[in-house]
Amino acid sequence: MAFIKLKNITYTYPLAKEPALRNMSCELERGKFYGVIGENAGGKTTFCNLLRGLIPHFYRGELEGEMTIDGQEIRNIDVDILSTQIGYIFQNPFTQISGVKKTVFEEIALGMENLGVPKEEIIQQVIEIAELVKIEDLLQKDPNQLSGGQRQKVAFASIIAMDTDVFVIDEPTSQLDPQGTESIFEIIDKLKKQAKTIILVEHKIDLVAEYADELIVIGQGEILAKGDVHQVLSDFSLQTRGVMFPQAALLSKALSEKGFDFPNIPVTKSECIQMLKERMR
Amino acid sequence: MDYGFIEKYNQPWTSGNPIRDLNPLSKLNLMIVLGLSPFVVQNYVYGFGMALLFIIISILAGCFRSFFSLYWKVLLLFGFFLFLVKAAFSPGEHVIFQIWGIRVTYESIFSGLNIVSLVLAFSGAFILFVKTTPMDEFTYMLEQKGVSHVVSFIILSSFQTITDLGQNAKIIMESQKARGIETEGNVFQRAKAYLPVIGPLILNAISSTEEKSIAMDARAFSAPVKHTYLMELPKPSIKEKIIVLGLDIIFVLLLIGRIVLWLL
Ligand SMILES: Nc1ncnc2c1ncn2[C@@H]1O[C@H](COP(=O)(O)OP(=O)(O)O)[C@@H](O)[C@H]1O
Ligand SMILES: [Mg+2]
Repeated sequence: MAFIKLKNITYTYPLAKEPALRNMSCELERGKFYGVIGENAGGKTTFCNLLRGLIPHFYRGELEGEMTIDGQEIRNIDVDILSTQIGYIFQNPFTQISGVKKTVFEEIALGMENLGVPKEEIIQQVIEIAELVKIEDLLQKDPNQLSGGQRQKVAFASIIAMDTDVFVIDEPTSQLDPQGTESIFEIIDKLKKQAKTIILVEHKIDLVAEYADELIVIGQGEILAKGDVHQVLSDFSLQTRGVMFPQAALLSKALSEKGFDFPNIPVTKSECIQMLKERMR
Repeated sequence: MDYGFIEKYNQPWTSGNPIRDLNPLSKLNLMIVLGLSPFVVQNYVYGFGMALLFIIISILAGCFRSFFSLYWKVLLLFGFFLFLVKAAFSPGEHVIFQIWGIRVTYESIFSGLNIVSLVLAFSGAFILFVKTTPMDEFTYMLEQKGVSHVVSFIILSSFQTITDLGQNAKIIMESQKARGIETEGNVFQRAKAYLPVIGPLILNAISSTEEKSIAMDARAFSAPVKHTYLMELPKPSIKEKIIVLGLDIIFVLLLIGRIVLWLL
């Protein structure tokens, strides 16, 4: 059975004239990694708010249609329990810092304290996560005095540390350099290998194409495409809907226009190299 | 990487300063008793004595700078103005001098001194409490006594909001200055620079509390399980308990005495 199920969901923020999500239907399965892409202001963040139950429990507005998480109707779900099951990393890391803790160490520990994790485990876990995200040297700093990129890493670490089964992650690398981005993706890949369910909004399509199982394309509040990464990225008409394509796919497209045919569209660098090699033989 | 600092989490938190290391609830208790005692004693010499005592305690607690940087503003703003108003307008028999409807008398001066000593003593106690008690330690103790997690979040985030307000105000004033608006000079010039930014500041604070409650939800703040505490505070010593209790008893006796005198 599908883990999250949306049927004809339309949602309008309070006071907004137009719906932010229109007639969305889809099913998400446990243990899969979904990459969410699409133009700016298309509704990706709103989609995340919905998956995490913030809509309709924090953001009022008008919600139509049906939706269930783990078989439970979203309107009747207990958000306090949901908060222990779905980790949510916000698009804006500035709003994710609690502001009530004096060191980054305690900031990362906060979620685990609330979950009742034993103290020794918390200490162990904070150190482990900090090393993974490469912020060991920030642990004793004041979370309110960090740069944008540092905050983004701390916010990421704070939620990952809670070790929920599902993670909704909204543009976690927007403030990071290529190295920082790479290490975030390595961690997400690790989570995937632990059979976590991941919903990741990310513009860096080359990385998404490499790691995700499925893509969900959102534009103007609608789901424009959903499916296997290769299948979605072989539909170049999405380019006109603000979807960026991976370098590999663009290269193969340019080559096929020149008469070189590929059996299917490569989406990662290694696939591309492989196909070129075969072609050149 | 040296993780020596995590040792802190395996033992009760102390700073090494005996005043700061008093239990937060002892400090709260002392603040109330010492801060309110001048209202019972009703003698301005005692009230000013208390204010002086708080200054001395702040020195002993090693927080004189942060304490006094706030306290002198209270001294000046409330203490001084209140005294002037009281001295100029309170009724009295023995006139010292009189000009344009202002009538300064012995009685009005004493009444001014009285009220100022009360304000100074109580605000001194309060500021001293805030400056010697980290708010997270205070709310931790409250939770240990059974106060709800939600209440402690409200206390913590209100203090955070006040800090943020101050910081945002500073940022806005700097940008006002950069735009060539006079932010220094006399009271009117300052007011002209400050007034237009108060609205946005407050709106900002309100919307940030909403964001904060979502942020706390993301940390499973209301998870229906027993929370863990990374923090641990030392148990108050017998000596500490005796001192606090002794002062409480003296305060109650003073209060009874005052009521009896008042009834007679
Ligand atoms: N809190 C809000 N209140 C009202 N409208 C909002 C709010 N958040 C987003 N919107 C609107 O909803 C639409 C979708 O926004 P969003 O989900 O943030 O898109 P994306 O994350 O894809 O950039 C936009 O038109 C945006 O202006
Ligand atoms: Mg967004």
